[in-house]
Amino acid sequence: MTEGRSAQGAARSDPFEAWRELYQDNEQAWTKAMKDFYEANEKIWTKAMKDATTSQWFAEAQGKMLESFLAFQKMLREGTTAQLNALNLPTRDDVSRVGELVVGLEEKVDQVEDRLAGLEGRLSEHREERVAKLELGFSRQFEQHFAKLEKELLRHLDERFSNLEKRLGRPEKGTDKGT
Amino acid sequence: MAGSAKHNGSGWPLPGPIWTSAERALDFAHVVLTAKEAPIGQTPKDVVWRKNKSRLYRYRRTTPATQRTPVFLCVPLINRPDILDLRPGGSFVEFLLSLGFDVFIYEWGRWGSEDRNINLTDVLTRYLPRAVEHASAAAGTDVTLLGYCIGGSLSACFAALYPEAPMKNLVLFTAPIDFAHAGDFGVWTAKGAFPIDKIREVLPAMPGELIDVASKMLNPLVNTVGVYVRLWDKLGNPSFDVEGWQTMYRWVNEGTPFPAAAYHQWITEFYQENKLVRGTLEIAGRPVRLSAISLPLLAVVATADTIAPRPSANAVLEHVSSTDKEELLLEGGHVGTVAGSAARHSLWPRLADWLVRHD
Repeated sequence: MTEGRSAQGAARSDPFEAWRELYQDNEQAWTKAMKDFYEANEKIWTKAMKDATTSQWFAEAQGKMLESFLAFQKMLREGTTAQLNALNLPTRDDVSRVGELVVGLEEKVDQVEDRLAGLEGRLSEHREERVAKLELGFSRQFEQHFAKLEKELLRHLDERFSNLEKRLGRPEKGTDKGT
Repeated sequence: MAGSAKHNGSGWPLPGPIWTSAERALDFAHVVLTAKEAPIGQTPKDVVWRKNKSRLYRYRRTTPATQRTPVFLCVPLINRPDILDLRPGGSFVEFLLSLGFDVFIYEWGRWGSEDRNINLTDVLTRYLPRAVEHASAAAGTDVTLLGYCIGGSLSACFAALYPEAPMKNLVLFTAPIDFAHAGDFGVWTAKGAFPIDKIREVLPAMPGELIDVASKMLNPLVNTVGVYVRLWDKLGNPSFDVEGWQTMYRWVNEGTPFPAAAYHQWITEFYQENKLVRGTLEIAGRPVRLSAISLPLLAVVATADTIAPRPSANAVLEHVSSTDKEELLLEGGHVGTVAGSAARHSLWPRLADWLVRHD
């Protein structure tokens, strides 16, 4: 009996009891009702919104909103820049300029790379022709040089032979004299 | 995990059905909040060439390529490149590798404030040509250039500017070409309404978040509230692919900054003046004529694309001089046709068939 009373008292004093009952009875029904309401009206609302958003009026209103946002952004940026300048600290623009320089430098490296690749390409395009020309030129030069060398060698040999002949001739004379 | 009644009767103060809802709410919060950590772009790859923040990657093959023509993927400047490599089992790159293709991807990287003066001329004359050259040199043959979204528009410009580049085919995935049919983006970025000069002056780069908001505004209810209502619904389904949802959610919500100068050029010369189709676009003093494209061309177009509507994306077919050109029309939107389960059964096999025929 005493236990029953205390349980009743606890139930009466639970502040969430009423909410819990209400929630328990209605939660699923509310969820379903909201979903049904959304689904039943989605097409109508979408059409209404579509009509509104495709109008010239909407485009202009959106443009004005964007302009206000940009004006605010500009004000904020100028304020921050002024403060950073006063503190002798680099601003976002300062950092961006360094970044721009790096990007510019990379572009120059790319241009050099492109030119090198172009030169390589042109060289490789005419490689066979150039090699053939070089070979021809080299063999002609070689032939000329060889002919010249041959001529000089023959002349030199001639001279040596004639000298030798002369020398061979002299002792014979000398021997004749001595005998 | 979702919707299970594992705590029922375990002594918790809430009765079964309520606990199930509470658990679903916890799951819901967990799935949304941990989506930023979802692993994406996991297919192994190696850097072939780099410039500034951009990287040219070649995906690793475990077996030699059986297709002769490598595929060069050119992704948009405003998104992470991972849409083409979302996760194992749901990756377009993985699919191409399994078919025997050698695959390269050119990622733009995350532009910083120091890149504020980089414009589309730089992208089209200093970045993309070198990346294509390096990919071709690494593979030892001409490539199929495949561009997605803005990456597709840039690929078309590139193919028009450099007909002598080492390319064999051109594939454009939902790429806006004729900006007279640019849809809502065309209305919002119209001259007089859109403060493009002010953006150029104030912001070093157009933040990915702002571009993301604009993309969501194309279908505001479905792209915001609808995403979470559908997630709530799906969490009750035991076969719901949580990882798949998270990878897509992460990709959609992680835009990358668009350098201010490039963004200015994109909006003024493409959206506002529609120079590409009018034939008045000039890049580094050279005219960009779509008629200079004579490569075999495939234009992938989606029926419900709000970013590159069909008349904008398939306009390229009218202007090129290619004799071999084809439109591949698919049911779906700008992203769903390229990634996800629908793409796996629709776009990927049909594209693979085209690529194999043009190998």
